Amino acid sequence: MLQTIQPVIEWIAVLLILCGALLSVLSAFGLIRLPDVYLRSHAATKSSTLGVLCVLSGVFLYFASVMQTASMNILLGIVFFFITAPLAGHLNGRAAYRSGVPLWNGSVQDELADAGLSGPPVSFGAEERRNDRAEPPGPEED
Amino acid sequence: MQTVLLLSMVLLALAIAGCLYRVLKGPSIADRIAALDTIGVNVAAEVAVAGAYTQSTAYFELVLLIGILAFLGTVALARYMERGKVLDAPDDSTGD
Repeated sequence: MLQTIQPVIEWIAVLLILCGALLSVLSAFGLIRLPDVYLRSHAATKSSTLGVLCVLSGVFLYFASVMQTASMNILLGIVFFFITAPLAGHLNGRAAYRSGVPLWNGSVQDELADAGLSGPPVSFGAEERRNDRAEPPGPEED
Repeated sequence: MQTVLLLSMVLLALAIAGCLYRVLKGPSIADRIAALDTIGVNVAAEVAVAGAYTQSTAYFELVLLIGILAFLGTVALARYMERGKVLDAPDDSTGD
């Protein structure tokens, strides 16, 4: 029984590894193409985390099926990356906002600006958007 | 099966090269820090796939080690960019 399903498990593991590598490529593509550090954090954090989780799960399955060893290091690595990769992205975004990295011109919302935090120096056009938002809402927004 | 593993390694190397472009070109320091963090994560994944490709369990400690080092490096760089120093020195004015 185990002999018959072992190739299936191996192929599932290898496909998981391939999906993870493709997600990493997508993450690098977003990191290159997106216009802003706050938008790039999405690509650099979310899809990269999912990619490395897929790769590590695939490697764990591969070793469990090929070499009959369940590697605890890989399991620990999965848990560790699942916790720390979004945390590092959040820290980086907060530090970027507090040290004044400007937002992209097309950004439509900056909620921390209303909270009275010392935000980044506003980029082009953001000042008049803030003035627009400070006005009382028009009747069409009811 | 080995071919697919090799293809995955090539794709991960492409991802690392794309992040390296952002490290070199990024207009702000935060871009470089985010790209360096992604490079660390991708290198850990690449090492794991290399372990599967050579069918050797010797690489697995390295995955965890690279992950820890990348996370600590990102935290230290972000704190340095935000406050100008990494560790909070004890304040002498409090009198202790």
